[in-house]
Amino acid sequence: MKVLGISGFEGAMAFKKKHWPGLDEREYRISQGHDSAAALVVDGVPVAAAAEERFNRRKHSGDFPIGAIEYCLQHAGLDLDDVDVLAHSFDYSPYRRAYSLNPITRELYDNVFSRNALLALAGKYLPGFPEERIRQVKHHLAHAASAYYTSGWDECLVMVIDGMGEAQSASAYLGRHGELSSIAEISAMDSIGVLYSLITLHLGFDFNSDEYKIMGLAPYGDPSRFRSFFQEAVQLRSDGSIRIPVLGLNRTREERENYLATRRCLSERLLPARHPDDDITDEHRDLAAALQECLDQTMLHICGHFGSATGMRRLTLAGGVALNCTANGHLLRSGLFDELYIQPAAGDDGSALGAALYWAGQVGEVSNVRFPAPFLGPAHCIQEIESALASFDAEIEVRRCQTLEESCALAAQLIADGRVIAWYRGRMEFGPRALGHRSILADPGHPEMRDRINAMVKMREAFRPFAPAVSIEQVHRWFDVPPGTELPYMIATVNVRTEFRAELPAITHVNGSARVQTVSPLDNAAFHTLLKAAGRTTGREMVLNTSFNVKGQPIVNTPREAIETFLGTGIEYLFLENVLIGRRGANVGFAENVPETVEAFR
Amino acid sequence: MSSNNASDTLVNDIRILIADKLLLEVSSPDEDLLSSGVLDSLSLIQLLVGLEQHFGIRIPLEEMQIDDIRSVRALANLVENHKIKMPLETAREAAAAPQGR
Repeated sequence: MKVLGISGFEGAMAFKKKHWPGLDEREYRISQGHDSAAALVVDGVPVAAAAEERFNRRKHSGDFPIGAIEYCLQHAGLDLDDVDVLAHSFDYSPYRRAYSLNPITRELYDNVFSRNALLALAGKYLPGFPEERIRQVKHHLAHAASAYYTSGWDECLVMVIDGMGEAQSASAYLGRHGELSSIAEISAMDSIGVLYSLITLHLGFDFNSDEYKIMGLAPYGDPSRFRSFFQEAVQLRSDGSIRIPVLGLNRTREERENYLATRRCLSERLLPARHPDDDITDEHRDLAAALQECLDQTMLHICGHFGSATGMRRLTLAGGVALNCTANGHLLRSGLFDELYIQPAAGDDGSALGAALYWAGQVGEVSNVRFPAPFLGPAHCIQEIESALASFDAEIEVRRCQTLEESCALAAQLIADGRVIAWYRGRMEFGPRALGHRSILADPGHPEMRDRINAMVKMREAFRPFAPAVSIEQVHRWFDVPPGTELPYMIATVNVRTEFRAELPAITHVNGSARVQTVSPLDNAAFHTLLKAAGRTTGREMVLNTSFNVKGQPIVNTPREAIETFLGTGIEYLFLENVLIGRRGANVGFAENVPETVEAFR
Repeated sequence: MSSNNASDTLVNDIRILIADKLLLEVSSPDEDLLSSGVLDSLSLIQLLVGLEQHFGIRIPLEEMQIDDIRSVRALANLVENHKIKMPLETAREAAAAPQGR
């Protein structure tokens, strides 16, 4: 069976703009259905998946994922007619009556959330596709399916924690013998994800978007200043649930739509809302620290409770909150579970994959093998690369390597020389992290590298740390984990071994942690070859790995986007597969800096 | 068909539940919860889930009428009727069934 999963709500932000004109642009992100995506599952196996933002070039786009759908079908050589089920990762139909209480929510339901709205979009973008093949999957069930059916485990606890699904903010499922059974749900009115996002907004960042920046800011702060607020605000209950009364303060439709009463309370009890252009002060850092501490404890509480209640020692996670690497790191080290698997596309893009896997699971087709590094996006052939190179001929210099090994040796030498390179190869990653196919790389040992990449390459906030990618063979040497620890998705923090923290300034956070990605030859072979080469030039099979994009832009997809981004930033060299590209006439030109032959530096 | 004889105990239980779930003090059993705007889609769903868990019943949203939730007394009648329709054990079995649509 061929199942196409999709996520997102195309009309959600437009609806909000129509009914609440004049809000701050950031407030429009307090809405449902961002990060639309498409994922194709054929005979139970995920074969293609991508977020729509990579095609329409609008970050976190919730538009109907027609670009991603066309890619998935083209990749598999299928026509739309071949698709047996189109599954959307939301199902609001049980809540129709609840939305009819108020004229605006009724219109929101009818125009955005309802099955009729989905059918109208399908009619517009996929004309002729039979309505009876269009299915809806409850949002948290889709997330749960994305985690369980890629975990490789027959039996485990499955936790979904996000901002909100249709009406829930956290759901516990038991995965057993290919079926998911609901154990418990926490209401969206007590959403730890929404609280985290509201404080993200309060700190001057974007709701439903910049939460990872607050996670990055937190280790600079001291949680004690605001600890008592969170201890009171987030009540951990003995049944594993949580209550967050501050989210229930909103009484009118206006207040509820934008959490106005909650935000007033944050201003009164914590600190005034920070404008995005204001300086970040110690107070802001302390608030981020207290919030992160609260999330860490809340995740341990919820997951720990349902782990004990079910006796499960294996935990799998999905939902946007499961992208919080720090909280995941605490879970990993907590001893509450023997094994932890976090589905790497844990946000709503991944719910598209989950909706497809859920339907494949319904007919018993899912093989449930552990998700390899998720290279499910488009690859671009050498002809497309050559065509892109030709269009930028006046601005670039090119050297063609003959083999992967030659490219890796050259790249490794450039990295050892302190250069910042972009590395574009193979199929694009599914999920928010660049895992070595659309990456910017550098030596983690250079003390100024973090500031240099933040300022000149990615044009982003100076406080944000970078992540290391390390060979699976060397992970335990540099980081405080047992040999062979697999962390292939860059989704949990671990501690850098104390003795190496000073040696690895570009990837060691102020608290000694790092968001490690381990790289194995089994599912990330080319990147592993590069790390081995880096081991020969730098003494460490490790690079700083950050996504190939600039602030506010989705990760590059096509070779043309790669060259444009390269030219628009301070990245010094770009590898498009085995083609090395430099700037024509730049200070860091080929002649001076690129060794003539690979042998010269072997 | 609905009965209209919910006990004072039941009415009081529901007032406590509303205070707990929605942080809302209801002044009288007949206060209109809808005209004040305090009940919206999410709070209604949370309230109904709370009623289901507390009383061991199942209240399908699709069968619900607006007047069923207009006041604490109306909610008490709703609970009373569903207690008759779906005893606790049946509700537990329904809740334990595998999920999915």
